[in-house]
Amino acid sequence: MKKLIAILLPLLMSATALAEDTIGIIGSADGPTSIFVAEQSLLSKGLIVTAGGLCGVFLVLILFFFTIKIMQKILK
Amino acid sequence: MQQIFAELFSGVVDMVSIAGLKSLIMFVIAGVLIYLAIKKDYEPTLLLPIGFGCILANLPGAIDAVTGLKAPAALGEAGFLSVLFDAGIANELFPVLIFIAVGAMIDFSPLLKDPSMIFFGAAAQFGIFATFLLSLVLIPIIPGLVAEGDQDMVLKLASAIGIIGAADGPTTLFVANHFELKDYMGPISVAAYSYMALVPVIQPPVIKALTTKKERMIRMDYQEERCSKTTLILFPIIVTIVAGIIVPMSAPLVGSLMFGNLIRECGVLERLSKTAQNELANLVTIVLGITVGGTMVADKFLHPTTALILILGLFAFVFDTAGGVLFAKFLNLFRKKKVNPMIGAAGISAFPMSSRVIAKMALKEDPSNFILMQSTSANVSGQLGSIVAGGMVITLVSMLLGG
Repeated sequence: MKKLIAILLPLLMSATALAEDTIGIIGSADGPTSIFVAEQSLLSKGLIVTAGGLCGVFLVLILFFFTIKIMQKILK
Repeated sequence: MQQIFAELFSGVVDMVSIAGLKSLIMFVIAGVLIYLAIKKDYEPTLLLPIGFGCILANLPGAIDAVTGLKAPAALGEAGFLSVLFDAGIANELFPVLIFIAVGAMIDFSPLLKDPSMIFFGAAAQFGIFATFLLSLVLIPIIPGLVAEGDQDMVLKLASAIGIIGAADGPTTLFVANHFELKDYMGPISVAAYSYMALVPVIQPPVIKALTTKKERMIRMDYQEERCSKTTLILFPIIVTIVAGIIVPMSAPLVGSLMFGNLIRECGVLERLSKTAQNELANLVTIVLGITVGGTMVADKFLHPTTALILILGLFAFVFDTAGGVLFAKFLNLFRKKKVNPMIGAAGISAFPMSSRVIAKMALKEDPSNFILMQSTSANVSGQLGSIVAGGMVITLVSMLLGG
């Protein structure tokens, strides 16, 4: 299990960073970026939401996991 | 004299028309919902008020005192269903209040004892995103669903359909309302609540198709150690802060769920905890149900979109279940102590229905295999996962709208 987390966590973090970068770019969209977003097909937008959404859910729940683990260690 | 009679019996006259026929169809649909609630005991607390609200919304119109337009009396500008909609759904108040009640009902201690179960709460959200993608493909190719080229509307509608897979009524309403999809609120909430009630019918065949008998018989250890009071109190506070920082859009839902849970666990607010679990939950459920039913107006409900929403909503539940089970099987490739893959299916938010279904299935395969505590852990994780997923969908889709 620890091995799996060690493999998956960096992957997840880099995917999340990529998703967050994308969100950041879109969020601060100036003229050309807005055009870039507008030119994306529906499917591309869907894939951005899917990848970002799944990574985000896993990231938040992994944080909850470590939070519980840390709490358990401290309170023992 | 003739005019007086015509006005007196305008309701009867209205029923003998195409609009009247549509109303009759809606009465039949309302009747089915009420039948399912009373006879089959499928989510009666919601399906019955929804069914009755549907009847009220499709009664013949009367001249509205405020606007002068003809509308069902309960739905006019000053109609009580409109007032309830504006007061509780349009401003997202009812879902938040429901979450306070749900938080007060949830015991997170099985999850805190075995936190590794939290990953199933994430994996089982796969159905939301798979259905979202499927909706994005299907909505534009079915003529008449949305205006041609209206990508924003497609994105909004796909989000609301996908989130049915959260198996979580308040989150579904929250997302649909956030994207101002009032016209679709009826079918979306009917799909969400009906399929939640149908979890015992939907999940078992999917689980059986994806697992072997041997896998379904896997036993899991359960540690009977007690969870400290401090942990139970700190958990809702820390979760609110973490979720609020990472996904700010999920803060209202996570915050209200965790507030309810803190009231429950703090030990000094027993009266408030009981009020949240009973009176608050019951009151909001009554007004939420009838208000949602009030959105089921024939002109908007009897539309191909409703069929699409109902079909894709079912897909969302199936994909959720499959995602959870396959993730558990994937984890088993790396774990020394294998998990029963059925646990993955309990990662949806339908609490406690899903955990009970999984525990029952395990007992059916092996009468001495008790996995209720593990499936409950996965199930409460699903509650957290679905809210976070809802927040992620709102955040990401809002950023892509208008692009």
